[in-house]
Amino acid sequence: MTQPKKTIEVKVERTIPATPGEAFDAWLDPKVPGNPWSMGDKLLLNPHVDGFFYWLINGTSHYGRFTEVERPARIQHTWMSRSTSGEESTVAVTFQPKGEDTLMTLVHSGLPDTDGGRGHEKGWNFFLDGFAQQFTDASQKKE
Amino acid sequence: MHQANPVLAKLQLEWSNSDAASRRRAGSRFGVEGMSPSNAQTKEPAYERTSQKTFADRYTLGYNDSMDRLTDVFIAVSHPTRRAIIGRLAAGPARFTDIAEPFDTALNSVTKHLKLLERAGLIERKKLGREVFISFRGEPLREVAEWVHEYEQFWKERLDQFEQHFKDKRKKEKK
Repeated sequence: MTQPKKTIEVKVERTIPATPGEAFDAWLDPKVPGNPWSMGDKLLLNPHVDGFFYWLINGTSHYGRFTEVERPARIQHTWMSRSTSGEESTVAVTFQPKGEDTLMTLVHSGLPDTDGGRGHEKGWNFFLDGFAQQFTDASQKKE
Repeated sequence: MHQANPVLAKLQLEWSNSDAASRRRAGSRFGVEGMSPSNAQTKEPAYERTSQKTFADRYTLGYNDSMDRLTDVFIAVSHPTRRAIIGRLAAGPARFTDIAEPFDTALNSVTKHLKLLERAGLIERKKLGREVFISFRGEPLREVAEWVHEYEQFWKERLDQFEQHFKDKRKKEKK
């Protein structure tokens, strides 16, 4: 019996003042600040379908395989590091035209939520209720 | 009165006299949810650990040492009784008897809840005269709130910089 694993998804959106093609190319160019490849200590990057990347930053290795590279609309690759506990997470980046600009959406899904197990699950619900903020505020007032 | 109750007095004594390590071991003995014996025995109380984050911590999206501490906090706040205790203590420090009084639950159950809260660093004990007062600490909750955003933090910073790059580029082109 295998239970489905709990995962976390992170979504970030930005409007980039460039065409989707320009933004797409820049996201894969290590010389452009802002993409992950522009920082770190060692990079091997082969941004083609079934191409791999290796990214070392502060002693932590990150590995991945590109699964979708569709200029100018979409880049998807897997993402593994010690932070993913041996699981393959997925990073999907889309570039949609928005007037003269580009709506860039990054979704990092499949991030494991295994540490803490049940405690986390309940913890998330708790925080979604805004309970934490209430007490954080209360504590700050006291300080 | 609670204080005249010998069972309560014994429980309060147990709570007050045990050191932090033995309380953590007790947590594992009780088999409280999510606590493994190894977990309980090896860790320092959350509030004794440094909360300073290194660059590497921030940029490896890490399930690192801080995860254990956060797990303690999640477990601590996952039970309605413990949340009610936090609610009571958020209003100000209280004695064991004050905390236990509103609950129908068995007194040793309150002791267990307090142990978990202390392990997470959410409460601390201070002796004032002959009495021990328990007070609420908000710092671990703030750390959890930060962690909720840790994965987002990385990508937000990346995309902010990426956006800025193009903004600067467009400004230059317009000049």
